[in-house]
Amino acid sequence: MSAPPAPKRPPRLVLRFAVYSAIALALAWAAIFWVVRHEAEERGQEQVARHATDAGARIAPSLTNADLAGPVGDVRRAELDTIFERELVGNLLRMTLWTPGGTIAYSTDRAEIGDRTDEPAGLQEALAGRTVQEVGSLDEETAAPGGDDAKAFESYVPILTGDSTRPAGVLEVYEAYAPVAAEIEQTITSIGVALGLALLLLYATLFPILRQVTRALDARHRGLENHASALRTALEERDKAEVRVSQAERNYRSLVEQLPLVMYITRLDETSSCIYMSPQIENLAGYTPLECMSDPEFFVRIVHPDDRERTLAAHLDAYATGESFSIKYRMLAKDGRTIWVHDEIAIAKDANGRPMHAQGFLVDVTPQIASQDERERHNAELSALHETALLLIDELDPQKLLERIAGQAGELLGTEHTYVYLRDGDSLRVAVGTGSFAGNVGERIDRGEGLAGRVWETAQPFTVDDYTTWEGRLDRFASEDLHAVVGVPLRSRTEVVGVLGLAHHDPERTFGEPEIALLSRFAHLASLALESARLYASARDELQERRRAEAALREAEIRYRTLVENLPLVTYISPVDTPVGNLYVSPQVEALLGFPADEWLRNTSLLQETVHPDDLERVLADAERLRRTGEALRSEYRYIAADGRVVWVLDETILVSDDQGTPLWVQGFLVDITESKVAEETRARLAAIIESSNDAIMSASPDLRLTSWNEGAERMFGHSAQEMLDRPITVLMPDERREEAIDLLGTVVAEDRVAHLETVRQRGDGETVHVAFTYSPIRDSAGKVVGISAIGQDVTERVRSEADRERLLAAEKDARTFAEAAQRDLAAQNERLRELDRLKDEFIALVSHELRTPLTSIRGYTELLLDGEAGDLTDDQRQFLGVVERNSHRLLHLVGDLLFLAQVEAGKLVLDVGALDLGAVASESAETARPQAEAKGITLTLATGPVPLIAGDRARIAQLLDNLISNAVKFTPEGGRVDVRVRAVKEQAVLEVRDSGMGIPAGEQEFLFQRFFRTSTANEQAIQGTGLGLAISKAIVDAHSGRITVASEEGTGTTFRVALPLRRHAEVRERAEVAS
Amino acid sequence: MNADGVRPLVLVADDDPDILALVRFRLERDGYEVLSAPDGEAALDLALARTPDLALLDVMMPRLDGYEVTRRLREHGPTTAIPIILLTARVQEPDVELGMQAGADDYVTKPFSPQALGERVRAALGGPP
Repeated sequence: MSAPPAPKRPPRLVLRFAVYSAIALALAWAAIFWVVRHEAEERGQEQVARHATDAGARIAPSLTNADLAGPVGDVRRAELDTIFERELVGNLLRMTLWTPGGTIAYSTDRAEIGDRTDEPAGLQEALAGRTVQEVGSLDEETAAPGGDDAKAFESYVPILTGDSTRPAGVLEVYEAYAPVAAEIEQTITSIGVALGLALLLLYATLFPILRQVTRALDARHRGLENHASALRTALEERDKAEVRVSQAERNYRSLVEQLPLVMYITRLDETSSCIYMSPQIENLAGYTPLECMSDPEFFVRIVHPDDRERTLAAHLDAYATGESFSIKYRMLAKDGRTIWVHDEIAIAKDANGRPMHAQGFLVDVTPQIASQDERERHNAELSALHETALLLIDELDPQKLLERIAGQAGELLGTEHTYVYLRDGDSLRVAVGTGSFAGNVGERIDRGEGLAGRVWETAQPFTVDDYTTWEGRLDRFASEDLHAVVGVPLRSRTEVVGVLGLAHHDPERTFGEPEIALLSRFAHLASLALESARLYASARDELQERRRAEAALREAEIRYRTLVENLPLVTYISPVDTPVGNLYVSPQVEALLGFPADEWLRNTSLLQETVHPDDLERVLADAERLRRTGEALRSEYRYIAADGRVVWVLDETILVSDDQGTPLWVQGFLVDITESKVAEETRARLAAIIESSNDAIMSASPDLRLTSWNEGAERMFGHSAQEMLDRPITVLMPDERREEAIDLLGTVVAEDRVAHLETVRQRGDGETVHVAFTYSPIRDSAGKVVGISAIGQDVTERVRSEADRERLLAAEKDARTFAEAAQRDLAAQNERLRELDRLKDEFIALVSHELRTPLTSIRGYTELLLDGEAGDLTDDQRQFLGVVERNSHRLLHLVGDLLFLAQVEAGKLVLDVGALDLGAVASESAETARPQAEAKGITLTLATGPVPLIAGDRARIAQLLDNLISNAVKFTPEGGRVDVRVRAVKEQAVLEVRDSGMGIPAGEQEFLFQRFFRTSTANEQAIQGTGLGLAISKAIVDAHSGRITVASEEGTGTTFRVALPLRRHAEVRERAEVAS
Repeated sequence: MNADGVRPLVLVADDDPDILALVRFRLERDGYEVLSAPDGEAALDLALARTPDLALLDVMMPRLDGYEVTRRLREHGPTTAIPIILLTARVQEPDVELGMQAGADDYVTKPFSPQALGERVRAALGGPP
């Protein structure tokens, strides 16, 4: 609790009462004194007058006129002394006789005789016949001894001598004043004592009561002072805050939103979900109020995990008990900072006392937590703010608050007659009235009118003690009972917004300065509360309005989204800072381009990937220019859809900016214009075809006016399109042909059919041109005939060469007859060739069969003989049978070779191709030939490197190798050598068979692979052979797409080299995979 | 000789009497009882009459060729399952294919070694006679 400013002392009633009452009593005593003295003096004057009159009456007869003419002589003075001596009794002090002229004729005080006076007033009146009495004074010398007071009663009486009616002189009598004074003093003293006693008694009785009243007032004053000072502090804070912000914004926002704290309202649920959050939350923690209000878990989420449990527990506890409390905890800001906040929570309750919601405020106390002193100071401020805030938010309903203000004001000053005016436009309106004002609610007064109007006008408190007699009263308010009335202004800062007033019915009671001062301070407080309530009401309205607006916005968004997502086009929103990427793409995009909308959001390079490469540069440049200049964009370009289709789109894009012109986003839509684009292209192509056609192509309306005219027509007829358009098509027709043409065109339109006409037309230069026309009806989309198209071909040349053509036709016919005959011959020949081919096949089969059958017997029986089936054989028999067996084998081999070549020549060689290891085949062949080589003492070597597989017919390749190796052995002299080598060279498997034989003469090498060719050396040396082996070898190599070559030097040796392509196994497999 | 003491009966058909005699000699030496037929018709009649354990048929025979005889034997109950070996001078693939389609179990190309033929017969009958 902060120390409030020293309260102004309340009135010291006891002291005042004492002083006032003492003064009153003193005045009373003085009055009494005055009255007593006055009465005593009057009595004394009357007495002296009586004494004087009596003495005068008694003395007069003894006086003579002479006595009254001038100062008496000594004799007479003596006589008169005697006379007057008798009279000078009691309190009478002196007697004097005045002459009418104002001279003292005689006096009991001898010294005075002969003195004159300047027209003494009493003397003149007495001379007029009246008796005069007054309080005068005696000369010092003549004063009575002991009379410290020279005061004396004196009286003037006329002296009548003889029977004269005119006074002859005046007798002046002085009587002592002292006795009277003594009497007065006695009376007054006793009264004074009585009054003093009364005063003491009064003090004794009233003092405790007054003390009590004083204390109560004191306490009340002190409380109000506290409130007032706290409010003053708050008000100053707020004013400072408001000054920083716009002067114009003087509504709720500026109060709530500029207070250095975050105000909020939450539900009483487990997560304290937020109903309202003032915008300062953004400064405090970086969250927007909308974020706070839209997330029910928001509060739970932002409390530091270490503080979460106790903070939530404290909240729930408070919600259960309904008690206000405060708590400090750490909060996680949006940017990750940890903030210490002080949270003040009050539970708002409804009329039945049920908790409705929690409201409070958050203050950033991070720095305070850091510094102890700072924190304590802040706590003090906070408490003050707390009380203010609680007071501000304690009553949110303005009308109820007004009633409460009126009630409290009445209670404060002890009356039940209260009223509150509020400004309502140009007048004041009674908003609340109690007691005698209850019936005035709703009535209005103008500025300056009546008491409240005057308060408004002057902005100062105003009071009257008796309203019924007050000249400014308003009759409609005046009543007999109404006496003291007071009004004080209710202010909003400097402006008067209302008047708070009270009245007394007791005529004895009025409103003094202290009451007015008190009421003014209360009004200040009330003004603040009232304004707060108003601001809260407007805040609530604003909140409701905002919610309504948000709901409307959501509804609108749904509506628009539904609309947008059902349009037959794709809409999108893109960011401003980059020409690619999207914030929103409507789902229609998937149907258009095949990529779903979310992929367009996720994949920022999708645009580059899908826009047609020829258009991409332009599209990106457009996007960049739109963002730079803000110019709306309308462009047509192509996408490549996911399935490879080319899609033409119309893209209309605009840059959306806020009121200040800051770009917000880019939005636009894509329309599929592929169909129209294709149609356009088709049209363009057709137009180009028509324009570039050599034929004349034109069209006409049903009334035969020309509507189009191409360049071909221009060339053909020698008229430009400009000349011809909209002219009747008949102008081209020679007169004699016109009717025929018009009739035909009529049938084209009427019967909706195509018609052909070969006719003659007039060129612009007068020449005649032969034209073959095709007329077609032009139909609109509904199928109705709306015109005629005419395609004309210049057949002038053709017509002119008609005869030539006839002749050519005849020649052609002859030629054709001849060709047909030749064709028939050719076919017959082919048939014969086919027959021959078949015969050859049959011949081969027959030869094969007919040769093999006898060979079967020869070889079979030889075998039986050699097996000893016909008895034991002699060596010679066995040797001879061996010759038979060998030669039958040669014959069989020859038959096989002949058949093979026959097949090759017939193109009937069938290969059984498989993966083949050339090295293995070579090895087998080498082993087959080894016995033969060894017999001749020839060294046969085999060198096989790593060779990939080849694709080949195993039997044929083996046949090839057998041929080459056995040839080498055959043509190598005894003791020579044959080297077989297999290796891979580049993409080929290479077999080399090298011998150290006699070699082949260079001139014969080129014939080596011909059938039945035998080298001269072979013939000379009578080496067996048919001359078929190498021909067969070459055929096999060719069939395998390989190559066989020979290198030979006579006398040194020969090398056969066979290169076969590798199988390309891996490649084949790879292809198979691609294909699958 | 088989378990019953009966020699397996082999039918041999060839229009070349020398070859017929050669095969007959070899097989009889190997312990088979041999039926000889000079043409396809005779071979078929003999086979239907005697139901041989195995048939050796030349392909190119007068009247009925070896393929046809094979087909008919396969149509006739008792000879449906007997091993049939074709003898042929035709060595081209289509010829071999035709024989297999007709229902032959094996083929031997001419010229052949009589001893090798005997081994083929023994293998087809599942063991020595």
